[in-house]
Amino acid sequence: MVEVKELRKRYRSHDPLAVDGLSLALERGQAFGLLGPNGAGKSTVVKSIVGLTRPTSGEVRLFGSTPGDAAARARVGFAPEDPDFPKFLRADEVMDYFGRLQGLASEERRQRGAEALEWAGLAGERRQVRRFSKGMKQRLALAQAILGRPALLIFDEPTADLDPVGRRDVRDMISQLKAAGTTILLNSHLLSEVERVCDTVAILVRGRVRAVGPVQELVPEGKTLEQVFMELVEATSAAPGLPGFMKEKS
Amino acid sequence: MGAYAVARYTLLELGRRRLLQVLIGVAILLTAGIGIAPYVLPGFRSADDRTILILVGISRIDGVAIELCAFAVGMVVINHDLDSGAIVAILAKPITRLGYAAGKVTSALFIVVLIDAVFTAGSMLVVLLNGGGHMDVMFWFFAASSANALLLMVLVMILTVYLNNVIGAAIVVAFSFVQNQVSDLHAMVQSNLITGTFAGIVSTVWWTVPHQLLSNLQRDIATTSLKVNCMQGCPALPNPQQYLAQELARIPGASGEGDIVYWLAYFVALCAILYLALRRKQV
Repeated sequence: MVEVKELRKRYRSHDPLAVDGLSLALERGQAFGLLGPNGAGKSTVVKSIVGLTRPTSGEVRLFGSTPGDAAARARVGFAPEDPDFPKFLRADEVMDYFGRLQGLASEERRQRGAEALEWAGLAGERRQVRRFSKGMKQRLALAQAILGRPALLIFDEPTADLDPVGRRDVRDMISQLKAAGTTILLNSHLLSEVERVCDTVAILVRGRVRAVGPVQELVPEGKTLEQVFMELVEATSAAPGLPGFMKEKS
Repeated sequence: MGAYAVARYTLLELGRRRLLQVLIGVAILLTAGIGIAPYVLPGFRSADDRTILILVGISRIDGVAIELCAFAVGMVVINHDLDSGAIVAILAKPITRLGYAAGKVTSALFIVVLIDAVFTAGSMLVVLLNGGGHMDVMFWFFAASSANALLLMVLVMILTVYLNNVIGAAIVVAFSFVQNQVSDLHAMVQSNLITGTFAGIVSTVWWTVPHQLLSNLQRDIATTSLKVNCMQGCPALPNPQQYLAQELARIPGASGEGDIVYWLAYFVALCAILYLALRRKQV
């Protein structure tokens, strides 16, 4: 479904590599988790897969084609990080808009849009998107992602900035999609989230894959995914101590 | 399908923007005010007096209002998708960047032309209620204003792909000011009021950067003014016709076919640049 080979991405010539020689493959039916601390390059990988950024070098294949191919992207549902939508539209209008972009017929748009909004808990919501809370936008992101009945669903930090209730709800929604057999690529820095949903995990640190494999293989007996993750992250970046002025007694 | 969806919902969004509604409302009120002013203000007894005031008012207020609306549309039509991050969700859908650019340009173009049509109809009605006349020159004034505003709008749209929309608009305002000066200088070159090397430089600049399309409205106003002022004879002007010819030489005349083709070529080129800017844009 997705094949990434030796992906490198540098945004500006003076910037460090955001992604440094990353390779991974995503098979049908998999729930693949991209784990990593902030700035590890997870969102860059995801954006390269959906054609929003161009790789500096390397190759990304999406359903045997390139991410620039609209037909390949038609099979992908994407819920971006910190999602937003045209501010002056209402939820049902966003669904109709995106349904049209997806190429759905009128009746399909109407039916799927209504069902997806119902599923996301936004049925009957008449406010414009600019009045939405972050949680509501996240729900709308999930609803629009499933609109085209995608073969692959990509979630980029789906629970970031959400309160505990919002997090639980979004996690439940992703679990439902996984149970329905949809291939999932979940990008998160929340270990519990990935552990709960994904069967295969890649841990990224500073744009490189430090470990990849099924969760059971990656986590040795007697250890947790969090411990494995912390070991890999701390091996490359030691946490700095408190600044001197904060240690002084007042 | 994708371009149509982008255009449709961009239009819906633009229609809901208060800024645009306020601009249009103010311009309509001002146009109506121009129609009433000659009857309220003292000193506008004759029909020609009233016509001059109305034409001057319309050319100043509606010209600026059309430009302001085009700026307002150009500033938000793409930039707000980029600024809010909505473009990430949109471009992840199976739409090509060409489709997105085409949808945005079409919707922006449609709304500016629609606004222009409202101003044209309103202004013509005002002139008609005040005795009529000058209809063709007014039509071409609005057509030229609309064409100029569209070019500036696409320029703003291009800049907002890279820059903050206020900065982008400010750059285009400065560009528009330079355009006006070049138009005036070019009129002087054509009337041989400017000659030599400077005339060559002005002509080169005129044909290098997109220049404004012009109507004969300003010339019409000058001619009508002279007619009104010299109705009872012009003791201060021994030769009014010569004076008029000198005045008209300073006022740029209506654009010709060459200018219109040139404008069209520039408009297409700017749309192509906008597409390339969006194609290269990483979100």
